[in-house]
Amino acid sequence: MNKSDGISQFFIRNAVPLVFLVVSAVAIPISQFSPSYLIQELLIRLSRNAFLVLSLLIPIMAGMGLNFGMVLGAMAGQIGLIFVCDWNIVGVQGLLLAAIISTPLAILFGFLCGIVLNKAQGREMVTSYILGFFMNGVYQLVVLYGFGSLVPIVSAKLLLSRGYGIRNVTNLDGMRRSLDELIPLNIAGIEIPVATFLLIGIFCLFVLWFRKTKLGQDMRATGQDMVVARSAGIRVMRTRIISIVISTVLACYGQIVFLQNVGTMNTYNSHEQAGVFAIAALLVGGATVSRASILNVFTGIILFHLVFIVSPMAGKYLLGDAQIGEYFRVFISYGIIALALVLHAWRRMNDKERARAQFRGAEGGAA
Amino acid sequence: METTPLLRVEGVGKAYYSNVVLKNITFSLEEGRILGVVGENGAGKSTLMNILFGMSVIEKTGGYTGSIFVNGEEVHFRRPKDALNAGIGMVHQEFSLIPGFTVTENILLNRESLNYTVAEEVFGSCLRTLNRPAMTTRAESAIKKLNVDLDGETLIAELPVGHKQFTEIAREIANSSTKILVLDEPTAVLTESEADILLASMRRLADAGIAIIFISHRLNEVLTICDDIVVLRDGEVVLNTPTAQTSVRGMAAAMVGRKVESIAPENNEDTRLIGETLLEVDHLWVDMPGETVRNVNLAIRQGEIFGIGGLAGQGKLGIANGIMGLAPAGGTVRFDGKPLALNQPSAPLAAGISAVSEDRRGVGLLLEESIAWNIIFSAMQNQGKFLKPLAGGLVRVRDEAAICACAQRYIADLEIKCVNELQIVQELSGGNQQKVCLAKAFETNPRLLFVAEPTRGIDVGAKKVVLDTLQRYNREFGMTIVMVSSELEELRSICDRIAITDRGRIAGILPASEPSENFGILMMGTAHEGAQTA
Amino acid sequence: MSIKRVCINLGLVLCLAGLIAWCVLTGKAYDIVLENTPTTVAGAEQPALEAVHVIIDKQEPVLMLEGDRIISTAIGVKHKIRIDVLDEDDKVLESRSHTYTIHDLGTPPTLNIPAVFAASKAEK
Repeated sequence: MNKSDGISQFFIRNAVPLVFLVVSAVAIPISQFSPSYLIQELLIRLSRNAFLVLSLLIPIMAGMGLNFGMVLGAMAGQIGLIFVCDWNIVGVQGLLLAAIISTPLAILFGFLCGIVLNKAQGREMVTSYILGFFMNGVYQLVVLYGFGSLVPIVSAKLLLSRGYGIRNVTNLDGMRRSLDELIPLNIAGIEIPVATFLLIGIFCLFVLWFRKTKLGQDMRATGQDMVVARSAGIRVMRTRIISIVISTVLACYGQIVFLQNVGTMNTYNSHEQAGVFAIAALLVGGATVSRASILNVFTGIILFHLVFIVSPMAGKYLLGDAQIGEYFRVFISYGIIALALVLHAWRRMNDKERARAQFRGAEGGAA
Repeated sequence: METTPLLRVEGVGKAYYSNVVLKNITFSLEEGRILGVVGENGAGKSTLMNILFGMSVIEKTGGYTGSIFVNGEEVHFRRPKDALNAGIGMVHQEFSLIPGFTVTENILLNRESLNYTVAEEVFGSCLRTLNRPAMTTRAESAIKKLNVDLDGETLIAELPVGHKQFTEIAREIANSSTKILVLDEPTAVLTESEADILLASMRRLADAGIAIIFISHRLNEVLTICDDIVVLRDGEVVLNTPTAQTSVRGMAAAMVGRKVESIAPENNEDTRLIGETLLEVDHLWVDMPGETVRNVNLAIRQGEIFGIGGLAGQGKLGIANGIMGLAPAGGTVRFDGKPLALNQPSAPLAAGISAVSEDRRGVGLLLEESIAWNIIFSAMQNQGKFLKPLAGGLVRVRDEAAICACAQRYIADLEIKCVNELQIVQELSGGNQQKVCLAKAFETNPRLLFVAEPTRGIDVGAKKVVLDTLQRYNREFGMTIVMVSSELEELRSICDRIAITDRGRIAGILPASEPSENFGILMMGTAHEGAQTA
Repeated sequence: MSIKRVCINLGLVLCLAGLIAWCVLTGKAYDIVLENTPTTVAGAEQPALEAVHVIIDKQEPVLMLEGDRIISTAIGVKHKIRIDVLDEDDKVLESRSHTYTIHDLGTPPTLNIPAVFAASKAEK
């Protein structure tokens, strides 16, 4: 009885990753991809996205839910990249400099975001989502009208022909895959972006270490019960802001790593979906709005992207249309987020129900 | 008496604007002694503790008068932190523990032992890492002082309630500067054996030199453990004595006071027909936040006015809300011999049970609608009254004339002060709103009526009308009424029998004619022992 | 304690400044105009070379014929340029190297191959 209960609990908790596992198990043979191709693709996606997804962990720890506001960090990263492109600094140095320039920007954005979210306690997710849209407008205004007029941009290659505003597509050729190929490694025809993975590894260690610090402990306390944390003298609001700032800065680095791999930047769109896809990947990995681990990050990215790699081909062979895969991607991303939010509410209700049952059970014993 | 007491409270008073809640409170507490503070709800205990602990609500509402001395020095706490620094630790009624943390983490919350890291040189001390072994040692030593069996590595969420309480206390002890410990009803949530352990631990702490202020409703515990007792009533110290010189009965009498015995019922009309059991409640539990009902058994007879009293938070409101389906409930309820479905608000209404909610403005009324509409609303919705068929019964429309007539009748009957029946309810005074609520319930012609806190927040005149009306409907129409109220004297004035709730159970049911201190004893959860000590 | 803190912070700021400087110095890419045209160096006429491979740092060799002007990129400030003179069968006849910094080249950075060829020493 208890054991079967445990098993069903396991299935309920891991329902989302299991569904994805099944879907990809079915779709892989249909797609007819070779294993080495799949592994290569997965490695690329993993190195591309891990940083962005990892940046979500800390706000979850601080009880602020999924940080849709990471889009702000992505914007900061892009602004850094635009400058570096303009100055024509290439290679890893360019990436590093872009990160250095965009850090203060990301801190500022994160700080503002944190202040707004503190005013909207309990509705952080929706607020940060809308805040992302709002800041998108500000970003577009600045980049489209401010750059080249107020902000000096030298390179004509970057500017629109009218003389101000950045072009739709910014070419990152100089930095393309410069981090990935910094330490080249090729095993059985599969290229492994060692340096990127090293960076991701260091970052994972940082998250682990951070959990052990006083600040991390304060964040966990704040995340679980703000009132209690405050009454214990923890500066709750400050802690929450810091968590958002860290997340925004990391998302900024994540976006830089992502774009160096892609090699071109859609100046006005690249950041938009960074948040949604990262969040969807994390949720596919079995994380919830209130709990996420590093393991969730990696399983999530692998499963989520596996489905995306194989689904266009599988769609083509099954239905004769590769477009269906892209369709699927957007559909699944939003669907999974909606599902996670519903599950979160449902689980909370379930827990309450269970607590009530316990309470009744104890009473039965006493009566 | 030569030594300076650890804590001395002298002439402390507090008024929230014009409302005086504390007057001239004076007592003192010495090292290693336990002081019991008892009093009814609203006697001023929590205000006193708020002052002692420097809660911001006190400062925000204009501070307090009088003075407080710790170790002979006058102090004035403006923030809880000040109080903590002065060595006052407080264990609150509701747990302030973090469920996903271990016992150790909670005991040392925000006082963790830390290790040096290089990162702190840049980002400040918040980046020190936790020193787990040191934390375990510190937590263990605090637990050891309490002499309880508590594993530091267990998650709070997995602990029984009693152990949570111990964790809270351990947290205060772990703070080595704590000299005075304030325990606000620590035993309210404990089982008897857990309470015994707690009391023993308190004694140990006192022997170790910590002074304890123990707030409790359980007079027996106060009697067993405390060295001195302070009884508050209406914001004044009515009794301040060493324990040896008082008894449960003495304390209960001091708490409840001997107010207005004369209101006691004079309804000697033997003409009333008290019939068979109408409502039978068996093992009812209700999950109403703050008013949890754990296990209630009741039998209410046809034609009586039954009172339910008790202190706030002991479940008296939960009973009515549970039966009416407004809060999740379980157990069996039989009405007129037939089982009544719980958790379905429509079921009791269909069976002929109505309720007047304690939450007049929230649940009871449609504030932006007219008086008439409010009065007939339930009757129309649930019983199809005031509807007339049109076009051969195809549709039914409201019978406005009948509605107006009905509303006018109640306005005259209950003396509702208003312009006319079309006035918006929001514009009425509290008392008149309450009368509209009653009219609404009466119009459904219930066989059983629950009335919760009918006189809360209304003036004396309206109070009398409301009580008289209830009594009249009971006498004239034989309507069975269950009245829930925190005002004991009000219950005693119209009820036949009164049940007192305690910890979500019925502590006892007494005829209204019993002296009020007997009810007081029930309220304090000392029913059995109380009789012996008396 | 506070001195230590100041030192560490100062050190970090210096590191960061150094890092930025390093990024800019070693990461900046410059467009360099390479021209294989006749020029005069110290009074002596230098004819254009018939066919050369120009190799900047470790980039791919660029073939330049007589009279060619092309734009190439170079990353960083200091560069080593190698000029391979080719014969008709594209065999290397002579190889010469030259080291220069970007600031030596003026604006826009221009590099005259015959001039470089004349100024640099022959490589073994």
